[in-house]
Amino acid sequence: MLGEFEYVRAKTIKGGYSLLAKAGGEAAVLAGGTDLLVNIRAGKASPRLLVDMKGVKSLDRLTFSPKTGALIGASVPLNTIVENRGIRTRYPGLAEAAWTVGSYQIRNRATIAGNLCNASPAADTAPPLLVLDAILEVASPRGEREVPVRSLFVDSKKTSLSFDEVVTAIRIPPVPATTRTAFLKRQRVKGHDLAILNVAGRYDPATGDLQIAIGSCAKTPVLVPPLGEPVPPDAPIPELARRLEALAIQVVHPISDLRATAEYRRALLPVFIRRLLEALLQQSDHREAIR
Amino acid sequence: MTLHPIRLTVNGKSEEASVPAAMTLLEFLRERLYLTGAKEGCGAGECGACTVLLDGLPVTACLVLAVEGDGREVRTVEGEAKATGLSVLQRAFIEEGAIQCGFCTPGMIMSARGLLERNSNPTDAEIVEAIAGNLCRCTGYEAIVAAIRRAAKEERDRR
Amino acid sequence: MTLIGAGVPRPDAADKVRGEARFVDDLAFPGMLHARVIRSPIPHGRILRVDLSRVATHPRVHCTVTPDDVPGENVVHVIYDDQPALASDVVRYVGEPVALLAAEDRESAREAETLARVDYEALPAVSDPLEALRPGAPVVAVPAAAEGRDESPNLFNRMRLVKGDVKRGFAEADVIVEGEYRTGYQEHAYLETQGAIAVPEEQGAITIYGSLQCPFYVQGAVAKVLGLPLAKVRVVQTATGGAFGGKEDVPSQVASLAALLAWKARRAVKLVYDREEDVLTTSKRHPSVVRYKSGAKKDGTLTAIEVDFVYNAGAYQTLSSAVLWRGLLTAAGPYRVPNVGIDGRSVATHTVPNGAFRGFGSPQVIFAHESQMDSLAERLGMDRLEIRRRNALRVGDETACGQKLKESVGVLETIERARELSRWEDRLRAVAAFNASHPHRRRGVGVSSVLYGVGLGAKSPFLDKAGAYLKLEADGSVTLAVGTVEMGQGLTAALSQIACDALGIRIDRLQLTPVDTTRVPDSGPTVASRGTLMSGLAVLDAVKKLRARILDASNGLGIPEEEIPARLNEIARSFFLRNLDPAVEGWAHAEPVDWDPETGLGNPYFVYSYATHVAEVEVDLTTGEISLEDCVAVHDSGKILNQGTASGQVEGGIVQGLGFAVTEEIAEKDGRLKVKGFTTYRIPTIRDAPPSPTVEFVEALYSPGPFGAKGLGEVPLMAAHAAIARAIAHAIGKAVSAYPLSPERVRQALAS
Repeated sequence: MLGEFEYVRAKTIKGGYSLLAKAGGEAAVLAGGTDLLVNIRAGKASPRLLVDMKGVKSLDRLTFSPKTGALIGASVPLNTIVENRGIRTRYPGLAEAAWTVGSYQIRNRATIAGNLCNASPAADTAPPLLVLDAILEVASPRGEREVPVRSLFVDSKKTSLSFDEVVTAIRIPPVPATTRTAFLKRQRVKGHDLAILNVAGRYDPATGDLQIAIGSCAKTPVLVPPLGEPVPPDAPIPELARRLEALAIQVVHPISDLRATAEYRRALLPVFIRRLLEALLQQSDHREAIR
Repeated sequence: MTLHPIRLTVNGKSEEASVPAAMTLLEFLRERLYLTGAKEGCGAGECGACTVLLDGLPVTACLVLAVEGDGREVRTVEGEAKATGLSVLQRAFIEEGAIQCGFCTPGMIMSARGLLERNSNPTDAEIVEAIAGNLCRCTGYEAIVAAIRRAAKEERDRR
Repeated sequence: MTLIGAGVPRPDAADKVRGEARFVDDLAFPGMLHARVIRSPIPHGRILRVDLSRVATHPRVHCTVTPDDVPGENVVHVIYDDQPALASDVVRYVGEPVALLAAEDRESAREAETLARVDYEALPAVSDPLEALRPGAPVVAVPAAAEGRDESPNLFNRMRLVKGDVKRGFAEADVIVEGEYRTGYQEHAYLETQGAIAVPEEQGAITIYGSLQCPFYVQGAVAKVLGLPLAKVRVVQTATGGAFGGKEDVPSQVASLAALLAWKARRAVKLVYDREEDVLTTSKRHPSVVRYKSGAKKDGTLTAIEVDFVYNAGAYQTLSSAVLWRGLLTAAGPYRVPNVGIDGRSVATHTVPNGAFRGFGSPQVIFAHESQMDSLAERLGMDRLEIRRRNALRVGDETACGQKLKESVGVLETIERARELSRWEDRLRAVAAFNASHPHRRRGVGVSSVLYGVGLGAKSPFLDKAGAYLKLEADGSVTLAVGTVEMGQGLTAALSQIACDALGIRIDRLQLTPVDTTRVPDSGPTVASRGTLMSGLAVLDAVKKLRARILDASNGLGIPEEEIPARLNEIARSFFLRNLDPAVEGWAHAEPVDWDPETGLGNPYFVYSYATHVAEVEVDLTTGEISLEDCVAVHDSGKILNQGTASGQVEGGIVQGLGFAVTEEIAEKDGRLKVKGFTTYRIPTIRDAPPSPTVEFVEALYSPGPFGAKGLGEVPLMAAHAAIARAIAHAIGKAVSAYPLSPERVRQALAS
């Protein structure tokens, strides 16, 4: 057994946040449990109460339309996202990132909401959601509010959400059909593993709009400051990569951990920026080389 | 400690029990139902030795609470074949030499079963994807892929 | 002979695919308690106070055990008896057992563990073996275990091998190459963690059920710690979920701890480690530093080698002296070397005691000797396979330790067959073409040849023996018992085949019973790739005796010899009716071995197995990532009794070798291993394994072996890691000198 805690399966969103509010910070939302239960077992988390939101039907839905974008309910497992045609077509970088989280078994339980709220610097779905300007829909006794993923991460393992707030869905704004997204990840083995470095990017050749985000290279996943000018599809990649690297260095602070040294992360950064640009601008497929 | 009443179907049989919140599905299967086929290899979802099917989908039972199984259908390696027989998949594992120490085998079989139910004609890449979350320290994996490939074909031929 | 060599399915397979094989944690006994071990959190310190009063008041705790409760000797009996079962005054590694508790259930045991209070006075620790040898270094070793204490208090063992005149050998050389090679920890990562159940029995006896390789070691250890005669300790092996050497010595500790609790509690006690505990506190492959100098003539002929190697043994001796010995006798490789100087040391440090791991002290020196062969080839402008071929041992040659090889030397055949199967020359050309065409990806091909002395050899000749018990049941079915274990390697299949083939019965008419120390005499450990060979010979001996009786009986019944298999039930019935003895015991012991510790020379092993592997890798120069693309593995293990299980051993060894050389790493800081479990210790997944390795056997028969068989289990890993390392060096065109060859190390090598 995993220690001692109580469990309640909430039937409504209100029921869920009311429980969280009542527990005064000693409760945790149980989504897929693939991080939470591991942390409880390891003694890194010791909530008194787990509030399971998977009984709330409305959190189970994933809807997508090119016009309105995607709405991913907080309980939707990652495999559903990986397999969703709309996500795969319109946000391939997100589908790719979701696919690299854990193993098939894990992805049948794990959720995007959990991946984000765990606030690991290495969270694979964070970089693509950052570049896609995704928004969390959050409910609490004070009402509903929207939290952009861009303002979610406060520190390693720490989000800006209050203890009584429940994520109900992740909304991804629509993007033009011309928009490209890509995701690249480096890990120690080719099978399931946490990232040494992960990067995601979004590019629209029609507007020249380019955004990239980097994970596992700072206390939180970070968005690289914008270039401030449109990027044409035939922009010379080496030069562009250099400029982006210079911008990235302002926001990353790689550390050494059990997966890699800071030096290695730093050395990978330009390689990954360049490959990401090749994927976005030239649509070359680096994934096989990466894995 | 509150006990939670749960009702679930395990290998086609309906089960009722009262479980503490902190009991995992793996513990429930092994210690309450004596279905010891699913193994704890790591307790952290990394090795896949505890893989069972939850409503038909492979999950690591060490990271599912027993109480989360309420109202759901669970299948374990013990449900793979009737009585003392062997399923096509189990026979393929034997014939392809996909077994050495056997500790990862129940999890491998359940990952493979989950795959074959959603995809009766998997490519090698799809087989690899399905068992990439199952660690094996003995075989080098090749024989396991061959076994699943063979089982898929034989199950298709039977239909 | 119909069953020998065939791919007969394993008799243990059906239980395993049905999930019905009973591993230790699948078993329970009435009233069984659950144990936890209270362990040292520091690498070195004096125990000031052990306060278990709060533990004892936990309502679900049944009892606790401290050193005062040990009825026998407070040691984990392996070789030197320097390791206490429970530390009583000083702790010497993080994770060392200090006290024990048993509770009614697992959760209570875990809870109660947190209530223990142990006060320590921290002492300075040393974790690097070279530092531990320096004067003034903190002392780790118990004096009685430090055979080299005159030289350094932390020198466990020093062994030397000197043949010919090394100085002259180097003077005769046209080229001399030198290198320093380092390898790190490797964790066994068997999928089933360590575990044992101790059950007190009537008449003051105890039974141990456990996941283990060496039932007779465990019997000896438990008898010693409980102060019981051996006859009062029975050990039964449960289905064992992988071992790889990790369940050679460690189960003696696990079982001793469970036994201490069971003895005090007078109830069954289960002790099963969780993964984190297992990874942190059990033995691993010895980290090593190997300095190697080789000389050769222009034509590639080796003239001399000089090797100096140091193994980090950890805090206690366990098996380190034997591991060092095998390193000493493997360091020259499968080559003719006329002038040899080898000097090996195993050194005590304040880290977890290291022990047996597939290859047993040989992989560390193999990385070195194969790197040296490539360096010589490069300097001489010679093909890497060719230089190995020229120096390979042949029948009639002398090994580096002066052993004249009388028969069964297949290394040359493995090299030649590996050349053909790998299409060596074509492959080198293809790789060069690929490299010329790609901006940042490089392919490389590596080769490695190895020799492996089968069995325990002259280090412990008293262990190379085995027994078998064979009984003809009244219906003509057969019961067989042996003393070596199945741990995944396929021993059940091989031994069943040997017995059934000789008796002419179907596999399903034979029952190989679980290994139980009460059924057969001490058969030595299931290690050193000796199971099939030694137990196989014992089974053959038993079969021969039983067959003679069967022949007698069938003569009496007028049954012609060729009809015996079909009419065995009739014959068996006549045994029963006529009060004939239907049971026999078989016995086998190895050919004599000898070795002189002064010179390091002699005939240390009765026979050697060999292998040559060719590996192809791809390296991404920008990130340092490595991909094992292909592997060709050719082995000489004498007669292969079961192609299927033998190929499986090789395929698995390749992937474990990949882990050793590339992915598996444990960082260590101040005596603390920075590892938690499989999240931090990454073993290769299916995506990392080569898609379809080629495995072939050349069979240089060993005439005293069962049907000419030698040993196989360890050899695949030994050859694989070095071939992969050499392929990486070839790909990047730089020397590589430290395992694991992680992307970071590859990048460092590229920058050098």
